[in-house]
Amino acid sequence: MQNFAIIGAGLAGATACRSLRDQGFEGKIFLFGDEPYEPYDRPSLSKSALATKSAPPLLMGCNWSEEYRVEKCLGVRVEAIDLPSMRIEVRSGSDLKFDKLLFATGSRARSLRLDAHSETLGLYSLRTLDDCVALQGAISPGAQVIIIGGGLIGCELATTIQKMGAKAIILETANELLLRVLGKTIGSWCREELEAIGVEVHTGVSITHVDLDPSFREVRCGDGRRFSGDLAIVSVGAEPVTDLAEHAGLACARGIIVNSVGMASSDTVYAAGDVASWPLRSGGRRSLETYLNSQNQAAVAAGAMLGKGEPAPQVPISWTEIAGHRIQMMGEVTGPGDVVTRVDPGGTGMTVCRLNGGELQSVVSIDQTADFSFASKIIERRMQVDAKSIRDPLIRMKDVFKLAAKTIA
Amino acid sequence: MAFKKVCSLDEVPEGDALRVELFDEPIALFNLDGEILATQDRCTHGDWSLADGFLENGVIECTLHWGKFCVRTGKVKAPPACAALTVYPVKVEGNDVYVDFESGKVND
Ligand SMILES: Cc1cc2nc3c(=O)[nH]c(=O)nc-3n(C[C@H](O)[C@H](O)[C@H](O)COP(=O)(O)OP(=O)(O)OC[C@H]3O[C@@H](n4cnc5c(N)ncnc54)[C@H](O)[C@@H]3O)c2cc1C
Repeated sequence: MQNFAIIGAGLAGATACRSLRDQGFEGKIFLFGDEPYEPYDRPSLSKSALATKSAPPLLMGCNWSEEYRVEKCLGVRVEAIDLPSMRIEVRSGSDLKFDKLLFATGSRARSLRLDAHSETLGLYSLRTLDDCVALQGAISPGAQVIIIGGGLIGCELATTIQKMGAKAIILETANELLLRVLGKTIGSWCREELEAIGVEVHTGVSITHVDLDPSFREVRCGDGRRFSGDLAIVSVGAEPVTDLAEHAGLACARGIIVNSVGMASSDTVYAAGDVASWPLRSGGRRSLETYLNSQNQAAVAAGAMLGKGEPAPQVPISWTEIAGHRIQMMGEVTGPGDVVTRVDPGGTGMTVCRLNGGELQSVVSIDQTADFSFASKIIERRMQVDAKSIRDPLIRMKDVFKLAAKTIA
Repeated sequence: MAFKKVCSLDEVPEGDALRVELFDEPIALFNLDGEILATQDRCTHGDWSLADGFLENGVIECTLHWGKFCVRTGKVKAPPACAALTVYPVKVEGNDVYVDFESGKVND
């Protein structure tokens, strides 16, 4: 009987367990997770779980590990891996021999580079349930919360903090929020929406020093500006957790380098989710840090572990909730071609598309989930679309899709 | 058992869906190659309307988090959804579509 080991009991790890059984694997599955919790929904940590001071939803049903026959080792950290002898070593000093191994160790919150006199001990960040619980306790109505970093999680946090009756102050180094993931148009739209709900936004701010004296908590910028608040949260991005893989000698570059079925350097080792630097359909590779791509990669890698992986180069796809708006995105926002903005004639939403040579390359929708749903299928299937109808916001994406599907048939 | 008229057939073209708010719960009607099926409209995961979603091969995909359900049985086809949808009996007479809301059931 074969032993499959999975390191990391987050979305990718849990999905891989399910997928291995769904695809008929009969051997043993060992799932190691250093967080002492059942796999849970991480995206909720910056949204509903924080806002309502409640637990995030679980990813699997209550008896899932019996149902899927998974040896679940929660609260157990894998300390080392010996690839030549195919063994993993856990904290308790015991080890396990495996036939195939999946890295699903995710990513961790990146820390700030500060001057040597800074105190970092009391700085908050948000990646795990424990982080969320700490924030639930720290944020009270009326508090001033400094958020360092205006990316997706920073903007979600600001939204939630306002909801909790506290005041959010975002400090962002770039000259606009969300530049990297959503581009300038949507970035500045989000800033205005955040400001409208009471968030204070400062761009072009580069933090070099943090002072956490209880009576005088402040962060200081390179240019001398100072901002003070009751607490500060660092949200300056994530980095893949590759320590174990690197020690084991696997090729890593901001993620474990895998091919388009998730295989690392040999057919015994795989990676999926945030930890994997996975090939993209548009060329290149990276860790995508999104829920849906992690889920998809885990299913593909599980197949590959069973010798039936279908190559799945990824198209980034994700969603966020900012200032009460649902934003969904797919594809690379920047690149060649024309950018077309479809403003919802009947509401407040809009959809920004990038169109190149009759192919939709990317789409970002604000409060237009129906349009997004069909646009994402058009991208996924690389359908040729009629540029004129994309430019006409009165034509639903559903009809653009139907027309494109007819053209194929 | 009480069937109630909910819409006319041409309001739900093939491959399309319609949200109907006539009962305690909004319902979604789906047209699968001419056959009409009814489920609860609210996604069991994210409290969102399914009728706007992407329907293919008898499976509806929620536009919010991409959970999927079989519209015939209500069963979950893809996470993050994990609870099945309530499905309702449908009757088509001429151009009229009827739904029996009280006889809705959840298959497990
Ligand atoms: C606050 C927040 C909000 C987000 N919101 C969204 C969103 O709205 N939309 C979206 O698309 N994505 C969102 N994401 C990203 C999404 O959550 C991730 O892409 C997804 O969780 C990745 O899944 P994963 O299984 O690869 O990693 P993770 O979920 O990080 O799970 C990895 C697990 O492995 C464990 N682990 C690491 N090393 C070891 C070891 N040596 N031994 C044992 N266990 C180990 C970790 O502790 C962790 O529990 C959000 C992320 C955060 C933090």
